[in-house]
Amino acid sequence: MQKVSSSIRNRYFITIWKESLFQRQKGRSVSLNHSTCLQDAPGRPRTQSPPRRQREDRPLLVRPDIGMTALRLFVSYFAWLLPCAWLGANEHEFDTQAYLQAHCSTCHGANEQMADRRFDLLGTDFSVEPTAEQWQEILDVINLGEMPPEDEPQPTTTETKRFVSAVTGQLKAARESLDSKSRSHFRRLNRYEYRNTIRDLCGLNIDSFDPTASFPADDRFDGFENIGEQLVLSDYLLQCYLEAASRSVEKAAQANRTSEKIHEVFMPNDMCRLKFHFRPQVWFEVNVDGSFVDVAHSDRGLKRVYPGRLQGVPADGYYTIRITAEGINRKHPYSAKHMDVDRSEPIKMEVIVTDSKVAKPWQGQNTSDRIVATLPLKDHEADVYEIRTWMDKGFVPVIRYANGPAVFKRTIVRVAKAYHADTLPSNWRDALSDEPAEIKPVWISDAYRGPRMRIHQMELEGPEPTHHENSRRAVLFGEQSVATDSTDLRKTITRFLFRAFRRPPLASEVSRYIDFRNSRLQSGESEETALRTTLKAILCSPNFLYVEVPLDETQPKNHQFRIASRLSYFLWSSMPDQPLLEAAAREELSDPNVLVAQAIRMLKDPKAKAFAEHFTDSWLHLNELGAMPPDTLKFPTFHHRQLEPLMREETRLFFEEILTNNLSIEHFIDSNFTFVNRYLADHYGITKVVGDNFRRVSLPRHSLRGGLLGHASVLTVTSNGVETSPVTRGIWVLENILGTPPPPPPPDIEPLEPDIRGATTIRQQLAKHRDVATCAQCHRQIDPIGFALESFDPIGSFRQNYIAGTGTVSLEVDTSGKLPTGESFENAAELKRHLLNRKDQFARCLTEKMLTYALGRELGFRDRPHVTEIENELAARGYGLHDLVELIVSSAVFYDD
Amino acid sequence: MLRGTGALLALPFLESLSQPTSALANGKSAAVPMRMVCVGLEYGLYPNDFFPKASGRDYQLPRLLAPLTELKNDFTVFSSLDHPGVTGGHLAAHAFLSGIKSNQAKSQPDGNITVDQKAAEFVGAETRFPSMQLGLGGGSISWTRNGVEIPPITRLQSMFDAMFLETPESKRNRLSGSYAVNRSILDVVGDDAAALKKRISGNDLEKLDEYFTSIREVEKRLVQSEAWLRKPKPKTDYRMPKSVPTRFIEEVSLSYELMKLALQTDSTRVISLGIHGWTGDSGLTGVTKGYHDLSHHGRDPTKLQQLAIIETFHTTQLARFLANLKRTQSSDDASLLDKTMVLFGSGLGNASSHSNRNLPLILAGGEFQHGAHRAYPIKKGRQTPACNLYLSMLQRFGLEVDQFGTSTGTLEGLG
Repeated sequence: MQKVSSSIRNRYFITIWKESLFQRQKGRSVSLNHSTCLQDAPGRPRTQSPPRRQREDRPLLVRPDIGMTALRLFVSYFAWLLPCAWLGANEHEFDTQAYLQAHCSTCHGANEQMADRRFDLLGTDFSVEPTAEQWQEILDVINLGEMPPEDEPQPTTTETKRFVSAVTGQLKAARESLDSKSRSHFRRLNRYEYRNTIRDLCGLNIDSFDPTASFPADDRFDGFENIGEQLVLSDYLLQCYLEAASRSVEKAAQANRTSEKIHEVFMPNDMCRLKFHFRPQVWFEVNVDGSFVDVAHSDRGLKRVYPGRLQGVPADGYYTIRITAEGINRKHPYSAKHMDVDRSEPIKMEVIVTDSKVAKPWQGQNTSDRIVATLPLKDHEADVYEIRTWMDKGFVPVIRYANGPAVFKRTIVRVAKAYHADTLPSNWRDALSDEPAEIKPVWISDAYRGPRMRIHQMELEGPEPTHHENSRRAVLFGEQSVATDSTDLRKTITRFLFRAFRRPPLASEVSRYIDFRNSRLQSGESEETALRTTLKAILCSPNFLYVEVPLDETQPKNHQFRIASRLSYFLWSSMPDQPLLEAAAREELSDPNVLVAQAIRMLKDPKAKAFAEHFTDSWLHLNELGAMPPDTLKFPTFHHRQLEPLMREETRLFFEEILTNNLSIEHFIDSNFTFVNRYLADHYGITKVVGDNFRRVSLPRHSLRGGLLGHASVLTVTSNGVETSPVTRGIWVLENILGTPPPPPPPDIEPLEPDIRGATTIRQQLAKHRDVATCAQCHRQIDPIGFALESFDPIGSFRQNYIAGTGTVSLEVDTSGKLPTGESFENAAELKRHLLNRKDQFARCLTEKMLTYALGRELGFRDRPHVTEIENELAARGYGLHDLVELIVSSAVFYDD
Repeated sequence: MLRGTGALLALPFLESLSQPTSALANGKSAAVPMRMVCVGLEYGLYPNDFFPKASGRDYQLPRLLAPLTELKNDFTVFSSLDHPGVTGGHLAAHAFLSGIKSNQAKSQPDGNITVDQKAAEFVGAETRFPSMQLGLGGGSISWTRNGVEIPPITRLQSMFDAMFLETPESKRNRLSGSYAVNRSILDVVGDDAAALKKRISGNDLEKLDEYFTSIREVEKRLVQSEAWLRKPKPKTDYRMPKSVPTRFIEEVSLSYELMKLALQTDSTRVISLGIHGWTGDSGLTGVTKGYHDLSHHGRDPTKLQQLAIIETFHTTQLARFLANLKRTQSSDDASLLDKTMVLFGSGLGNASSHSNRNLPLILAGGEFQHGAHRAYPIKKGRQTPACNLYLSMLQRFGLEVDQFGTSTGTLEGLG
């Protein structure tokens, strides 16, 4: 079952507070019209930096060549100064509680707590953080003009103005006084960070090896899996850590210097011994005369081609697999009704490596499988295909036919009955028969003319030798591979502690682990084993398991190392590398220029794939994909073509493209390109894309697919696998694009029960819902956005009509709608144009999401000035995504947190 | 996951200290411990076919309860019980056995611990496995007090092996050695944590405390594992099917079989089974659509008809399981069913509307007075939490507690 996380405290975090500041300074009345938030917001000068940070040295801060920027900063400078002067002492004395009592308490008081908010008990001590957060939220909705609702009596403009400035002033004062108070700093490694860290710390290949396989899932906060508060350490997890430490160290310590090389050639008789099939309803894999193996089925659960005498490779390492193969009968004589296979696609061979100890390799798929290649074969022309891949000890290669009939048994029974009835013996329906009842002149396996994959030979060679200095033993133990005398031992342990703790170890820590090693020696372990046990212990220390721990006041230099970790877990989801640790040791990381330079370097490293992967997973909630898998019968292609990983890949590549080229974040809302391969292109109705590799494709102007809202990943994760809900999708956009999550529904409201008998659409049902006053306030914001996306079905395919329960075409989809601010639209393309007008609001949302991810904690009202600062500079620089990353790592909060 | 006393991959172990056979010998039912089984369905049960119309003892068994006709006096069906304040459809269904959503767990003294885990804590090391969790087509329905969803056993063969397959001597020695190593590791990293503790305060102390608590718990488990390692496992005549079942109906049926075996041999006293659905073949005749799809029936009669096939299968399997427990003696005067409370239901009240109100709930066995349909309509604005039922169960199980989850007391009328 899945977990939910949502932030109530943070609901209205996104605000437009500075707009009203700006307007006040110009002597205008505070406009409570919602549409003011759509205007381009003026900037604000940066907050005061801590003295040690030379903020003026920050790179790329202001580009003087952008005239508008200068003007913007100029205007905002006054925007900042004036209200400060304006907020005289008497302003602070405005009775803010009386204002709440007068205008808010009817709905948010003792009797009623709409949206789960209650203000009559709200104190005014802003040094209490939850109190201040609550005030911030109130201020936000008032600035937005959302409260009090239109149909309620309104306070006077003067009253509201004084309220806003009083609360703003008090919040500012609270921020300043709270700034010195440090936050909680415990954050343990989450599951993927642990795995990556083990990879880098122990020099392990983790293509197949996963020490975290049995770890419980990490708790999420608003999609994020790296929030310290949420990351609980339980006894259950500690047991997992003990096990994982042991497996990792043992694996890394396996000496592979002397492992013998193998070179095996497997002939058809090694891979299959069945000469014919008389029962079509079993898997189809035959070796008629010893010269090749033919495979006609594509079911993942059925038999795979496997060289039976191979027990598993002798050691971890890189191997070369060579397969001689061809595609047979792509153009077959059967009708599409009988044989549902795409003839326009070459016959494809999938090569998998799998752990022979987990399951019998020839049986269907198992959890240790890893697809290493999917290769299109030539038609009726045998060729040699070579793959170089990492294999762990005990793994074996197996081959399957990737794109044949997916529900094979049903297909071939259909074909046999229609075309080859004469080949069937009388007992063909008997699933248990070992022998045919009578000998037929031709068997179904001979007569069959359907598409097949033909394997002639398989070769396996490896492992490739590794150089001693790169060997995992060297990574683990240091240059000398087995420490024997005490000097080397101290060196080995100190070095490992440094890397594992991501900071220089204390002398007391070094001696603790040396003593431990000695005690293991005394209890009978060999020197090698005692050292391994010691390394395992280090991997269970809180100093390893927690990425962030409170700073040791006696070791001020450690702050530099903490920043190094913060940066590397932000961009790599793993430990810092040598250059970064060295920069920390030289105490260079207090210079934002150095941090930015490091970030630029690190984003070029392949390890930065982790950023694209985990940040998009968190921000867009794609880590929930698969929690509600689409219905297998309703959406067979989703499963046959394994669309889910393709969907994720599209979004990640899209993100990387925008990041690498510093493109504008506007692309996330609407874009003229995306990434697809053949299957995803089919899914989208894009033609002329062939092959399994992803490539960038241009989209026509105003394409429905442009931007994240056209990505199947997003559209699938916002559905429940069976039907779409405009409400879910609308909320998703409010939360993750606009940054204005609606409050939860009142607890006594029952969800809609769809009634499909009367052929009403979801739109008609929701219209009723919006008639209820308590629902209307939020649903007029939520539903219209969701309506625009109704042109996409639960797996993100385009549709014009709903499909009824019986599978027949039903009512037409209506994608038109009107935002509460008045803009109307006919479809998603037009909606996106309205969203683009709210670019600044999106920029703020994305800034907050990325800052949350970078800091590994929930943001609060104290972070508001930092967010504003980053956001304004981002606007000044032209909204580039790479700029946003640079601004975050060079921001004061990233260093000071 | 076999929430065993051993390290994770290590599933050694043996016969209980208080076997049913020995209890049988001295014939004292008081010495026979109570067991608990909780079965949770991901997609609810169609309310119109589940809840009886009349309350009290004279009620007509509705369609879904018909398979339980023979056992009418052995179970109670409840209506109008649910978890106050828990909403969110599928996303809230995981609160089924706790009454608390995982994101609310922090504010609770026991987090969102599920009723089965609360009972498992009470059993402790008395059985080889303090508890077992099964999950068909998805995760388990059990959560620990730290807000962790316990991963389920995914291979029924490993459940069988863990209970009955004797660990070879060499492996025992190896395991024993690894327990000792792990204990020494916990000692030294505990020193690291103690050093850390000296320089922190406030919230941070609380966070670090998670680490210390975990160390103490794991140490305790290692000691228990060591103790169980040397005790022989129980014997059984039961033979696993030659090939692992792949069809849903076979998986469900085998799960119930193994659960009964586990209880009978006292390998564990607490089991939970989460039933989500199937990915391959369901094996159910007449079901052509997906389970989740059908649960969104929108009152379409063709869909409802298929849904009824699935849901009737569930109650039929339950009836078989209960009858099986009833046939099995656990002492001279008590059947295994008497000594096992079986809770069956779902965290979804109405899957078609994604409602978490009015949960379908059945309780059988456990020496409760059964035979009635007990309805708890809202009176004077007060709703009866399902946790009241869970509290009654925990007390019957032997725990001296007066609160669980969102309970406001024990469940009225359930004797």
